[in-house]
Amino acid sequence: MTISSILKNTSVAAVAVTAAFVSSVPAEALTLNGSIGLSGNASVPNGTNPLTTTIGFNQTQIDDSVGDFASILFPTSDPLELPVLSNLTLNRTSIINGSSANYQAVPTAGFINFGTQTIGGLTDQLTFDLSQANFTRFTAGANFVALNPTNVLQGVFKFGDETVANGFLSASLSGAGDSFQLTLSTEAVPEPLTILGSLSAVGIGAVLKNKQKIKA
Amino acid sequence: MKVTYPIVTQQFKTSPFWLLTIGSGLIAIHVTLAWRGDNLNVLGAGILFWVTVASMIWQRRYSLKLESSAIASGVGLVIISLILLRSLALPARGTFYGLMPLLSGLGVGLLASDFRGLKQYWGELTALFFIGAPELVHLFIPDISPITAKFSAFLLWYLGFEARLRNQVYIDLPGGGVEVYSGCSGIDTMTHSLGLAVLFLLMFSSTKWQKVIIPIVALGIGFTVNIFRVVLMAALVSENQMKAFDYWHKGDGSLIFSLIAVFCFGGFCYWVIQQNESKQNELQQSDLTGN
Repeated sequence: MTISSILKNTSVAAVAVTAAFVSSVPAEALTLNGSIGLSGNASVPNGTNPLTTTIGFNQTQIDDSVGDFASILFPTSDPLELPVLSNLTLNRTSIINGSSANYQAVPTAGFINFGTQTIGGLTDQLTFDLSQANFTRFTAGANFVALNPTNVLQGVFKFGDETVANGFLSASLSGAGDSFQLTLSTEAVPEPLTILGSLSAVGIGAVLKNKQKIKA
Repeated sequence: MKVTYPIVTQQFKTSPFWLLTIGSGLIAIHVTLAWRGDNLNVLGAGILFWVTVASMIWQRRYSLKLESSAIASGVGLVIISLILLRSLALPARGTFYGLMPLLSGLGVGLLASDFRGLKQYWGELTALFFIGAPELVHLFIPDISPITAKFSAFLLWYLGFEARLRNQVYIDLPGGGVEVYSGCSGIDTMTHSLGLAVLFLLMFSSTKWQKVIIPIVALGIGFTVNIFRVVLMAALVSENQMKAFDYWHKGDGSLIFSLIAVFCFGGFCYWVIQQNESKQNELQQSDLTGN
């Protein structure tokens, strides 16, 4: 028996063992599944119905996490103070009355940075890109501003692959205390399925090949 | 005294039998992972391309040179071992998942025919690359969502909708709007169509010009079908037909688009074959007339 044939026999055994193992192990997916709730201090500028306003966020903490987000961890000594939320710029779209107006958020890539995370055995950078968010901004007096969502906030979690998520963000300035709450839930968005095309291509290919054989 | 073995036992002792066993095992692992990972696109492409590659190998089974060296077999074994180790915790999507069919082909090719003999499998290896191409293409090609969104918004405007493109990927209509995500950019449909073009070129004879034109037409069909898909989604959102939107976006309706692309490309391939046959017939007739 030659070395080459020994190696081939070894390969056969290895492939057979792995095939048996793989058929019994569930495969992992990179698309995220679950929800996460964040809260912290917000920097909400006062003023009545400004044309543009920028909200800052700090001292963010995770209140609750479900599914894949339950395994999110941060280093004990964390100079970045993860998770970090970028400033959010809102542009006024319409005025409702003298104390309130509608605003639209500027889409923000990397709106939330969760740092490097390990989820489902995979380690990668976890970020959330904000795509769309609309708010009603209400002012009462000099030191009270409330930002309430008018519809569902939309964005994309990036962790290797992309996972679409929806949620709600509200923020307020009340006296000396500013705060915000943000909840995000993943949503399964399928890519266009090509399986039917692939299977029909098998048939079309066979028909064309047969036709060619008959003519030959 | 000479010991004789039954025919079945003799087959077990031959190299092609073991190569067939290794190859079949790797195909089974790949298809099982795609199935268990609920990755239907890879499952469908896997069935199509593995069947084609198996058929191509089978047709040439008597002309293949099956002589390998210890070094090539060792490298092949290492590649296959890495595949097996990695596949024990394989994600449903990712770079390795896309590379697995090609690496499997390389591993078995090295076990079978040495480094020099790999040349005879270039067609099969190219076809295997296209099983995982949709998983790999994102790494090398920038997101084409803005281009898809631009063409879709233009077509909507041309069809009479008051479509407005915002921030490159948002198509706003009076009754609502859509965002063209990278998953909806059409790159998957285009890669899938390009894979079909490669299969066609490998299985049917073609001229130099056809070798250039056929992949371009495949890409064009994939892109155009996806544009119509995005236009339909945007129009349904604008008309607040969310049930219809879900059917065409997530439901059975979403399967139709790849079917349309494949039938369009199949029709084009049929036309190419007809053209080649009529040219061949003309040449034969002119030869006969000349004689």
